[in-house]
Amino acid sequence: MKTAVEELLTRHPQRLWRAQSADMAPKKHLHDPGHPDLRDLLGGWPRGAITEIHSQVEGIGELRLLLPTIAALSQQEKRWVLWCLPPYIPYAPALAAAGVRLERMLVVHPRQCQDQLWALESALRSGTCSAVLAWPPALDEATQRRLQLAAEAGNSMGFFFYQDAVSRRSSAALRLRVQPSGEQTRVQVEKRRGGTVPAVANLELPLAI
Amino acid sequence: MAEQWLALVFPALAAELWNLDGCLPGVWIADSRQRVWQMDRGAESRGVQLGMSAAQARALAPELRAEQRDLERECNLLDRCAQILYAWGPQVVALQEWPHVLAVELQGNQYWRTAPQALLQAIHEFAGVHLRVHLGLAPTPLAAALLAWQGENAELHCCPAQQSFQDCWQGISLQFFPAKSTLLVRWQSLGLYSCGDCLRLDRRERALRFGPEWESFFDRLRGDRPDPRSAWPVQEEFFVSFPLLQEVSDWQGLRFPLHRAFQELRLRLRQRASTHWELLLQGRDTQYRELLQSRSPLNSAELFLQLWQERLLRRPWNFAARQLQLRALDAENWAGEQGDFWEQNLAREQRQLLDRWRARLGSDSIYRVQVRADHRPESAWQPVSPEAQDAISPLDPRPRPLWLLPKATPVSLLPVSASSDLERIEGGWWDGHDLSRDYFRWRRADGAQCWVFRDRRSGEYFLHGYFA
Repeated sequence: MKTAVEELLTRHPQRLWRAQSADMAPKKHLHDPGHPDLRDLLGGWPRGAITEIHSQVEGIGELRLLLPTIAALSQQEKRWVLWCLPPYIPYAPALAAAGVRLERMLVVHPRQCQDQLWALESALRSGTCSAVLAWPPALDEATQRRLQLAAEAGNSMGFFFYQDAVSRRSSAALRLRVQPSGEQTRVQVEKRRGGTVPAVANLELPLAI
Repeated sequence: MAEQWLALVFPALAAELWNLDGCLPGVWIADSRQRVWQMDRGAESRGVQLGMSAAQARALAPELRAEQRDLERECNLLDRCAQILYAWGPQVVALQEWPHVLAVELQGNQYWRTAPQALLQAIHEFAGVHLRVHLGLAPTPLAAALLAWQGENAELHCCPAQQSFQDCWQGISLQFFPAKSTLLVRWQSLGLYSCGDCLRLDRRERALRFGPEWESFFDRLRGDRPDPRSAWPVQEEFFVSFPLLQEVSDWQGLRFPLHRAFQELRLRLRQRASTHWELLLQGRDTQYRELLQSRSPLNSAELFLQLWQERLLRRPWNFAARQLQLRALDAENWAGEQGDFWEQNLAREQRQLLDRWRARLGSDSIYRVQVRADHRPESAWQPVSPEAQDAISPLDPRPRPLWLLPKATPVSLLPVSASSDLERIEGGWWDGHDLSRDYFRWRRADGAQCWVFRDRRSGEYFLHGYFA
C-alpha cells in the first residue's frame, strides 16, 4: 500500500520530488538536447521549467548548446520559439542552416524592464511558445518563481542567459555554467532537480550543423 | 402582410441618463412649474412621485440629485439607440408626440421573424440596468408606442395572438395619450377609458368636443390613414460618441464607458467586425487620439478592453476627458471564428498574444528574421512582420555566426594568426553599399569565438559577430 507521500509524489511528478532521487524527472518531461555528451550529462532539457545558462563571456558556445533543440522544436511544433531581448541580432542565415524554421521564430524587444518581465511571463504562460530564450536582468526570488510557474502552466522551456562570474540563488530547474576550454566548451551543472553531485563535461560544439 | 413596428418607450430617459453607471442614489427632474417630471428608480424607491413639487421632493430625500434637462445628451442617447435599431430595420422614426419614443419598422426583416429574441436582447444590452425601456409591437407606430406605454416592465407588449388588431386597439387605454392633462381628466370624467369607448361616440360630435386633431390621431393609430414620418438620420460610419458622466483621467475611470461604447458598436456592427479602432478623448481644450489594430476582428469585449488597457497604460492621456468617441475604421463582413481543434486554438491564441504585445510594446518591437539572397552579411537577413510569408532562399553552406552585431565594431589588437581560412566578400556597388572584406574566425583571449573582417580598403579590423 502506498503512503500519502508516495501518492503525492506519483500524482505531481513535476512539482514534488525527492531531493535524493536521481530519476525524479520522468523522461517524458525532458527534451533531447541533441548532443550525445550533453544527453549523458543532463538527460535532457526540462520541459515546463526554466533553465539558466551562466557564462562570463558571450560567444563561447552558449547558443550552440541549444541549437539542435531549437531546430527540433521549430520543426516538430507549431508553437513559437521566442527570443526576448537578445543582445545581438539572431543571424538568420546561421539559424536557417542549422535547421531552424524561421517562420516559427519570433523576436521581441521590450524597451523597459517591466515590459520585458511582462512579455516573458505572457509568453511562458500562454502556451503559444515551445521555447523562450531570454536575457533578463537579475531577478528577485518572487519573480523567478512566478516565471517558473508560468513556464509550467504553458509547458514552455525557458532558457535564461546571464553574464556573470558567480551564480546567484535561483529557483530554476536546471542551472549550467558555460566556460571556454581550449577549442571546446565546458559545461558544468551547478543545480539540477534530483541531482546532488555537480557534473561537468567538455563538449565539442560544431560551428555549423 | 401588415406592417410591423416595434416601439421603444423610455419613460424616464431624461433623469436616468444622469445615472447610467448607478453611482448616484437617485435623480429627478422638475418641469417649468417646478414639479417632478421624471425620476429614476432610486428616486422612486425613496418616495418621490411624479407631479410632486420640487421643494417637497428635496425635503423628502435631500440625498437625491435634482438635475436640469440636457437635450443634447438626450438626443445623443436616442441617436445611439436609433443607430443600433438601423441594424434591424430600414426605417427608424422618433414619435414626436412623446419626448423619448422611437419606433423601427420590422416588416421586411426575416431574422426578426425567426429569432425575435436577438433584437430584444440587443435593446436590453443597450439599455443596461439603469435605463428603463418599454417595448410594444403593433402594425402602426402609434399603436406600438401606446402598447409599450401600457407595459409595466421591459417585456415586449403586443396584441394577444387570439385577438385581431381591430379588437386590440379598442382596448388601448386613453391614459397614455399625448394629450394635455385637462383633456385626459375630461375623458375620465365622461367615462371614456379606452379607444373603444371614445370611438363609439359620433365622429362629428367627437371632433367638436375634443378637437379635430384627435380624429387624425385615431385614424393613424388604426392604420386607416397614412402616418408619414421623417426617418432618423443614419450614420454612414460606425462610431459611438457620448459625453462621459464624470471627467475621466485614468484607465479605471475609462474602462466602463469604453466597454459600453464597444458593446454599442458591436450591436450595430452585427455581422460585421473590425480590426482597426480609433479612440478619441476630448477634454476642455485638448484631445487625445489613439489607434489600435488587431490581427483578427475583435468581437470579444474582454480582449478589446485588455488590448486598450495595454495600450493606454503605456501611452496615457494627461487631462480630464469629458467626451469619448470610439470608431470602427474597417468594419467588414465577418462570419465569426470557427474551430475547436487544437491547432486552430493555438493560432487564435498566438494572434491574441501578438495583439497584446503590439498594444503594449508597439508594433516595431516584435519581428521575425528572414534570410535574404545576398552575400553581404548585413544584407543577408532582414526583419519582417510576424505575418510575412517566407521567401525561399538558398542556404549558405559556409559557417556563419549565430550572433551578428548590429554594427561592426573596430578591433584594435588582433593576433596575426587567424584560426580559419579567409573568406573574401566583395560587391554592393549596385545599391551604394560597396564593400571589400576578408572574413575569418578569431578566437579571442577570453575564449570567445569571433567573426572578424579586415576592411581591404582601410586595412582596419572589425568584429562583426560571435559563434555563440
